[in-house]
Amino acid sequence: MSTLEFKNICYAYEKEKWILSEVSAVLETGKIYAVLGPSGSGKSTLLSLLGGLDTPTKGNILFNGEDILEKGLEYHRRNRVSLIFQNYNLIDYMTPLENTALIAKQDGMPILKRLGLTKEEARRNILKLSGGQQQRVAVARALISAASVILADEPTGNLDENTASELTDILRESAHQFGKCVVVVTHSQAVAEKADVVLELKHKKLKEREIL
Amino acid sequence: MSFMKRAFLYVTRKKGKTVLLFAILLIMATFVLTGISIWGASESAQLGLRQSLGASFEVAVDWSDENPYLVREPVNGPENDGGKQATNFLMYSTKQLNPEQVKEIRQMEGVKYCDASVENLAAFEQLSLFAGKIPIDEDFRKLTKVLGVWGTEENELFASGTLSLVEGRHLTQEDTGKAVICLDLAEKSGVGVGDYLTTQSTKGKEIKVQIVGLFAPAKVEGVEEMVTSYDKIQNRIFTDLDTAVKIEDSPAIKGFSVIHVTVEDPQDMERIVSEVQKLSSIDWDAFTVTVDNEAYEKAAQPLKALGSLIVTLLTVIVIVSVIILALILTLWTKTRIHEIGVFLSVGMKKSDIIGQFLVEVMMIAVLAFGLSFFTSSAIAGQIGNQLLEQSRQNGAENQQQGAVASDPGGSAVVGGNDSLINSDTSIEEIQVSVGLVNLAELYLIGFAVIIAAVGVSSVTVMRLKPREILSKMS
Repeated sequence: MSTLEFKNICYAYEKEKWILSEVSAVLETGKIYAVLGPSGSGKSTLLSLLGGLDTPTKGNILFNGEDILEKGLEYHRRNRVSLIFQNYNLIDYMTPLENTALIAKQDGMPILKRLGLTKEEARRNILKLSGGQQQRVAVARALISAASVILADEPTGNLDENTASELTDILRESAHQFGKCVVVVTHSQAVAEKADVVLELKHKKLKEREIL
Repeated sequence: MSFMKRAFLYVTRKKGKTVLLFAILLIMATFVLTGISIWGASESAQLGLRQSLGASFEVAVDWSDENPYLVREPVNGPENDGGKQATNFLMYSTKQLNPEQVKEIRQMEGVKYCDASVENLAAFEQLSLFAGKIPIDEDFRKLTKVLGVWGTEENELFASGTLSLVEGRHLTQEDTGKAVICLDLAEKSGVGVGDYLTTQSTKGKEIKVQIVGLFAPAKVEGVEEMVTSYDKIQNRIFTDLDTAVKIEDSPAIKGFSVIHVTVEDPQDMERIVSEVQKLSSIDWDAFTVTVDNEAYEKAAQPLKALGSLIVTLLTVIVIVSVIILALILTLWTKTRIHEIGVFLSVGMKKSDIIGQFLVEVMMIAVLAFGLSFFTSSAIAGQIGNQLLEQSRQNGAENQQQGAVASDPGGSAVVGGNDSLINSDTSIEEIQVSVGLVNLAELYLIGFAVIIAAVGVSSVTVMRLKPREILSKMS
């Protein structure tokens, strides 16, 4: 079982302007985590740090007990985590199939099909797909990766209720059936309700909320 | 997915940008290839000119007071009206040049011709000389100029084509008592190859020389041209050094007074002169070296000006290309910040991303550069000759401003000391053709420009952290 652990993380954009203070948690594979918190509470910053897009001002992030800086953030991003963004972040001159091929050599069609895209849609330019379809492609790109951690930043933010629910189910399935560690930063209570663990960022601190 | 494939997808799917970049690169490549071709043609023309014109220098007796071997002997001249005898001076150097020294210089690398000679005047019984336009004393009317040479084949008059051997053979270094005379003079005098001519040394000793060859001049002095009979080319006698020494029969002529050296390539002139000046067999207190590069310099001036102009233009074009390309690519890179962020977020290396950008431009450049072969071929000749004409006009204006006498026909005197030797050296046109070598040079220069431009355009974005890029994205 892989674990992503962060210990006493602090982060400041500028000197003494702390966004995160002494934040710690252990995230395990096979579970879906929801990170809640008001806007500006540092949710996306925390996700960026876990994803190796930035480094904490203080503290360490460990993957299976090893500091992610040891093998480098590039290695961490390429091999251990995959990211899903609210605005999909797909390459606009590529098809869904080509987008999934960005990080994996294997055929992306089975995953795209499982996420509801037809063959024709999988070969269509990405900009000619709906928002929901684009987010499915983004999820497919994350799932096809060999990375054991999926970090999703507001993945349902631009989607209607039904599509958001479907997507959350797919993420749950990824955690429970495919053994991924899924961390979802969200404002949505509906998403939080489907999470195994809900973490709340408040006043620069992270607390686990009890699931009723 | 490899960066090559990503680059291919970008180039084929972003057609608008591809076409625009293709047009920009085609224009740049056409300018650069045209410049390279004209420069190459100018270099070839200069090389051809250097090889055809050559250049020359002279090793000659130093007639200044600095020559310690100079002798001035009084000789009795003719009586004047008052019955008094005038005193003239015979001046000569006791150090003269021998055939071995000529041979040493001739064997140096880059020497095309070596013409050593010594002049004297002599009268030949069998010859009926052509009259000159300048009236001369009775004593001189039977005299003609005798040139004691190292060999006639390399004599500058023969080498330049002013004279050509029409019968018999050339004089060589091994000859003694032999002569080559003008065909016109031989016919006028009723002599031919194999006949003997008789003359006397300055001390009255009879000397016989055998005619071994006849020459014909390319042109003779005009009827109205002011020339003495002994200076007329038709009266010229070429003989060997041994005979020249015998005719003089005094210390005044014991060897050659001058060696005229023609070099293959004027660019080697400095080296050859330097080597000659290092020859220990020549006593440099008695001789001087005079370089004559004027013909080449004059003829090559427009080409050199064209060459410098093209080099300047090429430099400007390359710099402007880098700037324009870097600006365009910088703007485009900024619009691709989203893409860069995505690539970084999936763990791609920055070098991999820059590699993709580079390959994209290279792919378009390969086609644009290839097409520029045809566009350049269409315009290079015309532009090259327009620039050459401009350079010629500028050169002519500069010469007029500098009050330098110029030959309006563009002809130049080779050797400088004989007005009979002329060659037309004006460059009216250069043949500009775009070759595969030029194309290869374009690819080298073009790719260097692209690497520089892509490098410059990527710096700003690549210095950002992935998170900063992703912040800009959102």
